[in-house]
Amino acid sequence: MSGPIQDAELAARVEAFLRRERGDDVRVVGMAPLAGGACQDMHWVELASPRGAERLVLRSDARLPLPASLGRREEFSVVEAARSAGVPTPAVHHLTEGLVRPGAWAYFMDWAEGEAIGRRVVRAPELAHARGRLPEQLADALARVHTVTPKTHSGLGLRPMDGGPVKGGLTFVRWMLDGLREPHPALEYAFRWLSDHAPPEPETCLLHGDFRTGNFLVTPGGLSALLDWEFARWGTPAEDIGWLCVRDWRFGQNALPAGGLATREAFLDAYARASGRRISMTVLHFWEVMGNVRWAAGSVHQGERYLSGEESDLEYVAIARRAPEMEWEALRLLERGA
Amino acid sequence: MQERPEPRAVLEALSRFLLEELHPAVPDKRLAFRVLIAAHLASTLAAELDERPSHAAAELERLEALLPDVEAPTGDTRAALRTLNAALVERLGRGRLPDDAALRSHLRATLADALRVFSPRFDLSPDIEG
Repeated sequence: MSGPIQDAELAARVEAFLRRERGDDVRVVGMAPLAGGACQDMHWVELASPRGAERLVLRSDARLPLPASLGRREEFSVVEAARSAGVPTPAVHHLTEGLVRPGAWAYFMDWAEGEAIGRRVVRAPELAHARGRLPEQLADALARVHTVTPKTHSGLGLRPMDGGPVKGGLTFVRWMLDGLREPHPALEYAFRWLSDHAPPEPETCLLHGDFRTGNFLVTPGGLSALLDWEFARWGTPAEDIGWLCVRDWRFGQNALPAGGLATREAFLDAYARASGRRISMTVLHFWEVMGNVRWAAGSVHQGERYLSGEESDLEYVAIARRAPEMEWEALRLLERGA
Repeated sequence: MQERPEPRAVLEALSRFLLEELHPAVPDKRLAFRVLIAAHLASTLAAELDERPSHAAAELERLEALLPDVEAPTGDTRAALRTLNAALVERLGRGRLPDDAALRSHLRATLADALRVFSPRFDLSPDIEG
């Protein structure tokens, strides 16, 4: 991936910054925007220094952040907390303001190898062995994320919970539904169901917040790293697992609801072994319905970002047209039961 | 007024051009993926042109049966659908559900019609886990 420098001015700023921070005569020998992170502003950066060749990612605040997403400053402390809990995720360095754009926070993170594209993760023949190990490894990584709590890490800078994870989840989805520009009766029906089936308020811990196939890197040996912490928040463990089970992240492997990689039962078993916490199918079912409703509303909102002129990527239009898939799945699930 | 080639044929030609001629010639992966998206959108629009009027009429008929007391504008299907769907959402919000089985069957039928147009490969069977 080494090669041309796309924005020479930015590369010069990055080089000067890293020389000050590290105190060596590092040079930027390649730098270009990184495709894939639709929501964040990311560059890969190739360095040459007395330490040898290095590759980093520069992750900056987006011009138009999504509502509910973290800024890079808060994200930096979340990643540090996750790493100290033993979560496999790239190390982060040099949090700073104004390097990429005035007012925008940014940091560097280590480059990690692996495949993130969901369709390949669940299908590629060369990842067959990895798929055998992934449920166990993902459950273990998630259990480690969930050891971080408001008690162990009061200074994380995440918004405090208002009345517990269940109430918080319902309030957030209600807010998303209230922002829709046309009526979506199926989502209102599902919201009604969620309100009527809310489980008792559970324990609160750190959530990855976007834990799904497509947001972790896989090598032939298995899990390489969790990525994309921008939706990290306080919540309850079952919420992250419900999100992993949302139909859209199965990439056609419908018989394996947990991310196209495992059955729900097998994933809950692996999670129980890793965390000592047994989540019931009924509780998971609630959060899986919630996840589908949330992603349905989220995809409609992405279309609105295009229609308002905020975004110009055709993919936002296509995603909004797929909202009925998530609506259908929410109804199918609640009719089928846990 | 000249009718041929009809809008559906134009959209199908557009989709075919994007898929068969442009896509193989675009080396940039990100851009090539967007060409596929564009081809898919054009082909779903072709289906939508044909299907939308009958889907809208069927949705209207079901909503009128579910909400017999709501007055909707006559002669304008889109306006009537907006009124009736807004009324349905408002009732769901207040917890006043019409006949639940009929309501769910209506919601399923409406989504299934949309999916047959927008996502023709989406599996509509009730048991996908196998």
